Amino acid sequence: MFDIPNILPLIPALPLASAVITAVLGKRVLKHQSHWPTIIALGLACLLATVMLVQVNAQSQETGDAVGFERIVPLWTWVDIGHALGDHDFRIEVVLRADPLTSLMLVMVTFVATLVAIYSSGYMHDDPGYWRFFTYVSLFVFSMTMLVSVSNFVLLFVFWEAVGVCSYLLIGFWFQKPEAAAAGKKAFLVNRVGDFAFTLGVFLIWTTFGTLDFHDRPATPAPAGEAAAVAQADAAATPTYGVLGQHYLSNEYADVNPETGKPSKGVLLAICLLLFAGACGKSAQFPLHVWLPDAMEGPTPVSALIHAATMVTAGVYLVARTAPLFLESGSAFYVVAIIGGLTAFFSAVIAVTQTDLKRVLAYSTVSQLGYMLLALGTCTLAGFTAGMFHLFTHAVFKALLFLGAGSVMHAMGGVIDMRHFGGLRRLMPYTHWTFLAGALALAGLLPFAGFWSKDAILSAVHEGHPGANHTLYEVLYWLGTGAALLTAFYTFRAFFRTFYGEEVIPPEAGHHAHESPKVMTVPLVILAVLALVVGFLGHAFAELLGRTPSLSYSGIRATGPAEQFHMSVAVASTLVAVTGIGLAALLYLRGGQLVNSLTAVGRSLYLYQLSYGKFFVDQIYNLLIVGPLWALAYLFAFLDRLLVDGLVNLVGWIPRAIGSLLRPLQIGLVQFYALAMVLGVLVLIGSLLW
Amino acid sequence: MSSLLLVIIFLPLVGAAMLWAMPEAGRKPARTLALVVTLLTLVLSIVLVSQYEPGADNRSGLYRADSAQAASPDEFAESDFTWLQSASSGMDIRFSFGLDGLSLWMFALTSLLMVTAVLVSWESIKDRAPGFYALLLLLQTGMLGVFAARDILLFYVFFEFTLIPLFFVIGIWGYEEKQYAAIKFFLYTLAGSVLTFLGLLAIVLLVYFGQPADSGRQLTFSIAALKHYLAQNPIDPSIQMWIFLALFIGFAIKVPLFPLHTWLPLAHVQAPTAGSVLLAGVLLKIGTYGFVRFSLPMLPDATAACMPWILGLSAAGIVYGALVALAQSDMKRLIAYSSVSHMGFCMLGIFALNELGLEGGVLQMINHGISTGGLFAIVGMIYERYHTREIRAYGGLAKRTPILAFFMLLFTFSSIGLPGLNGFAGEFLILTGMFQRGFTNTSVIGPELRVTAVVAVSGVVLGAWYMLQLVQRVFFGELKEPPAEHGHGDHHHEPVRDLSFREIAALAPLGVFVFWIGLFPEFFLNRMSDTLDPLAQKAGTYVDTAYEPATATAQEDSQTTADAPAAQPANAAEATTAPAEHAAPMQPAASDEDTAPSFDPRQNAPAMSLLMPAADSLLVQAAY
Repeated sequence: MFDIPNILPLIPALPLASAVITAVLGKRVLKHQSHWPTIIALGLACLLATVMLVQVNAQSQETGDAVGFERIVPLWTWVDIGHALGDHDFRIEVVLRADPLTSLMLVMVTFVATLVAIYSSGYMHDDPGYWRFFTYVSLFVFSMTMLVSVSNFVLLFVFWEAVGVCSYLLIGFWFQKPEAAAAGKKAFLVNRVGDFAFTLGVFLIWTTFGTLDFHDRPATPAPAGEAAAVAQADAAATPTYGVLGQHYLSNEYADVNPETGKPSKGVLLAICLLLFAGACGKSAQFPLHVWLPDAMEGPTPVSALIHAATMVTAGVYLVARTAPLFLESGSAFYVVAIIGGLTAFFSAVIAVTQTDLKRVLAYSTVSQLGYMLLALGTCTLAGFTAGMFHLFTHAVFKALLFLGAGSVMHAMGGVIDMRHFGGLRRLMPYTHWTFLAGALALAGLLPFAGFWSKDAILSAVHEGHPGANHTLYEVLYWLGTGAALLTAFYTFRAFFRTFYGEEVIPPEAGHHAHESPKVMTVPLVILAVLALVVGFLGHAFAELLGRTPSLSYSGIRATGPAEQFHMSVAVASTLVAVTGIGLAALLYLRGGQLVNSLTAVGRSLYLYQLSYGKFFVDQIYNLLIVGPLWALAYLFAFLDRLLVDGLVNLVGWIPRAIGSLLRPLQIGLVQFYALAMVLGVLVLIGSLLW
Repeated sequence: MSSLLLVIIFLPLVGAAMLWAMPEAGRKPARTLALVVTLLTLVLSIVLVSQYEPGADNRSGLYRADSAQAASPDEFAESDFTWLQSASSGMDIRFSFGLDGLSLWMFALTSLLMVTAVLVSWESIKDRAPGFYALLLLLQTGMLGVFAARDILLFYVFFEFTLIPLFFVIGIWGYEEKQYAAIKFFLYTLAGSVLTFLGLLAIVLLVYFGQPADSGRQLTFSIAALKHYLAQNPIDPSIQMWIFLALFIGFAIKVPLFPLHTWLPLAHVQAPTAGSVLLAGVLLKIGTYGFVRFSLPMLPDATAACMPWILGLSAAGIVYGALVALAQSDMKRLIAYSSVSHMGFCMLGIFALNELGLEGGVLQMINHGISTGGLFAIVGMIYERYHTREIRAYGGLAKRTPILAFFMLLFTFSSIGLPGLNGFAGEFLILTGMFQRGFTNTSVIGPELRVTAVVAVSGVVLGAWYMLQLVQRVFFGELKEPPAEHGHGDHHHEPVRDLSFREIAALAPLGVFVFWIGLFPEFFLNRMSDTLDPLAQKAGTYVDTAYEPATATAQEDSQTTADAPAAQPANAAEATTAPAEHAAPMQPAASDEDTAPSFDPRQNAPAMSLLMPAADSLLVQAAY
């Protein structure tokens, strides 16, 4: 009954069912009760995911670290083209997998989604698109749970795009707002650029490995008693080796494809970089991070769920999933580390000067995702577990912060610019305290969740990759520490500006500025408690995650388990965090004089503009890519009429021109025709007689 | 079953005749009759198609070797009569119809889109309705016949037969520049198809003269027989090239392949909605269908030789069409250019010349018919409400017409290849096939093909751009409606209504297929693979021989010898392996000379070489 093959398909199926129910019944029948199918389905899915996690944990302990644990649940065959590449069938099945990585992601996604759905039933109350909202949210959870549980690259890409569409629909949820519609389109297109690279990577995997599966597909026994099927059975009897299956994991990619032989490091590097470019799109890493801050045009619960806790972590998930490829490529993980480190630092710089509370959090998300990838970029077991653990803690406290920001926005009548409100701590006590918990976790203060995961990341980066250039990781470590300082600073800058100082309430809030209803504050409290305690699970988490097949790859396992606690790193990061908070308190708790003078100095150094202008990446893109493409489009459209069609018309014109040359001959005088005839006959006779 | 196929093909003709007989009838009986006939055709088509069993012998259709002579009783939906026969010359033109894995879905698609075409014309065609519907039904017979014809002459008759009804549909019921558009469409495609006809005739005659004179030559027009004969006695490669070019011009105009596309936007914009739906949905596919039906199996050497060029044109068309679409201000024009881009994908898949590409290409023919047919239908519905196609005139329509916006978004997502919907299944197979062509087995032209593949993939990004731009501007943002021009004064203040039941009925079946093909493409691929796979495999072997490093690199001996050992083993020729990266054929192949198609010096049947003078004179004629 509660076997993995029975419950795994239900976890995505429940949200899908609720999406369909809400879409069909929402507008006419459910109306303001539209949240029920979603909340029930997500809650049940969360329960099932927890059950599965327990089972995976128990069963994986039996198999041990050496091989990792996975269960494959096939559903149906999507495409099957026999012998498409030599002996390799192009066979894409709709297959789900259960392994530690997947089940952890499932629990995280469904749990946060359930809380967000409950919260949204308060937040989205009275919105005319109430049913539409819950349809999209269910659809998103379906796509996201599928994304983390499918077992081949094609389906991974399918749901990779599907979450992108849900994101597009939800960013543009208030489609009457032109900014929202434009932001939705921008998110989709920037992601498409990443997906462009992703697909190239997938094609390259196909031509290199002759399969797109993660897992090994066992030899299927011939159906008994069918003589006719013998020939087919021969073909099916050979097992296919998945890219991330036991065969390659135990043979270290020694013989990838009987036709192509062992793939060169160059090919693996190309594959990894292309996949990573896709990850950069989805996880909003430099230079494809530009869509995420704009995505804040969507409803705030969506920002919490999709653009902080779940969807944007898909890129991190992808890198963790394909870890052996990154290791074997020999150098791709350096790129991951460098991009991650740079993004972590520079988006933290941007976050310092933003005045929109949600944008501060958005850049903070970009920065924290960079942190995760920085950890993954060490390509050690410690790094992977640290990065993934940060993914989990971050999901909790960033969802908390966003929901808190939503609560503020709810009370302030939709205003989210910190210049227009302040001193809200008395007005909104629950929001204030829970936000504080989230802020402390994000800043990484003991004993909050962020402290443990951030410490694990910095330790892993400090250790670096065995045998790798140590200077690189040293630099990245300091970059990460610098980002930690900035993180603490901007988090508490936002916190102080929102909740401390003089009480300022914008006119949009009207007279009914108040704390949010219970249905919104209860999820906040739950998340706040978790933000306090979840950090202590780090050890169990790392142990379980290490039994994921990809991460039990011998090369990664050889790097050894994470060190329990790295004292010097912990002290340094705590000091840094306290400094950041202290600075923020100094500047924003005690009047604005100092801030103004500092801002003036910053202005004169252009640093402030650079940060406030988000390093002008959007403008650079417009100048270098979008503009030229538009120019090219208009040029081609012009040439299409003038040149391409012009040539066609020229061809059409030639017979007409010849015709008009001959036209004067048709003068209508019968005598002239007769004369011409006679002359013609004479010429004919003459030529014959000659 | 054989009679069923004939009934389906000629049922619309009967309907057309009935409509013709009552020119004075009003709009209502005319459209009702047309709807009944198309619905009946659709039902019968579904019955027919559902009897097609993958893996069974009855699906072999045209490409079975043993069906070379006339009909064998177990062919699918086969019907065959003598049409023109002359014992003295052995001439045998047959009235022969049948379906195989290639034509099956095109046949079904035609029946499906016809219902949509009739439903979208329901209100918009007010003038001379019986004539309009008669022409539509006539067109349907033409389209069904093209896909079912098993005889070259029959194919050509139906091929031309599709032109004339559409010419009148555009010319009479079109918009502002309808006559110019109709004439351009007609002359452009006619010019191409005349060359196609000469090419097809050349094949028939070459086969005729290729047979030994003493044993009673047979002038056969049967596609299966010709293909069967040519498989054993291929035409001389250089002659193949001429014939290929003749066929190419006609089919490429029909597709339309960049840069032969300029008739398309004009015809689309000026055609009434039904005309646009059928033009995009079915008629363009006749071009790609022609390539798969004739060029690939009958002219394999020339196909392999022209492959890189056609792939290049396809990729260029994908990007070019997408960019030009981006710059359009007219909705219909935008979608018309998107067709240029999407048909480039179909061509790319077909000319990747492997199973993945070919199956993907044919699947994409169906997908494009559904999604672009749907998009044109939707634009027609918008036009019916507001009487303008200017994108600028609109904004925020999703608020006014949510159901219409839903369908628009669905077909847009389908068109930009969103995973889970039909467009993705086709595009993914096509691009995988293209990549496989570029990254394995063809070391000589590998780099060019790789560039082509990457350029083609970038078209996917651009495709999302222009379509989402359109959706954003027209459907999202603040509500902005052009003043609706109502014919009757009393309706003046009535707000524009969302889709009616009739309009939903026109779009919903297409929507079902968007999901069906997207989620279960194997159902469709399964039924085409037995026809397409052997074809692709055979074409693939020709490509392999044509571009094999060992035979093609004679002119670069000096470099080859140095690295020859690396290039020798079969597995080292793989482009993706480390040794092959450094193999000599790779680097010098960047220059143009090396990419020039090189022929397999295959020995032809002696009869073929005797035939050369005859063929030459024939080609001289063809040139004029």
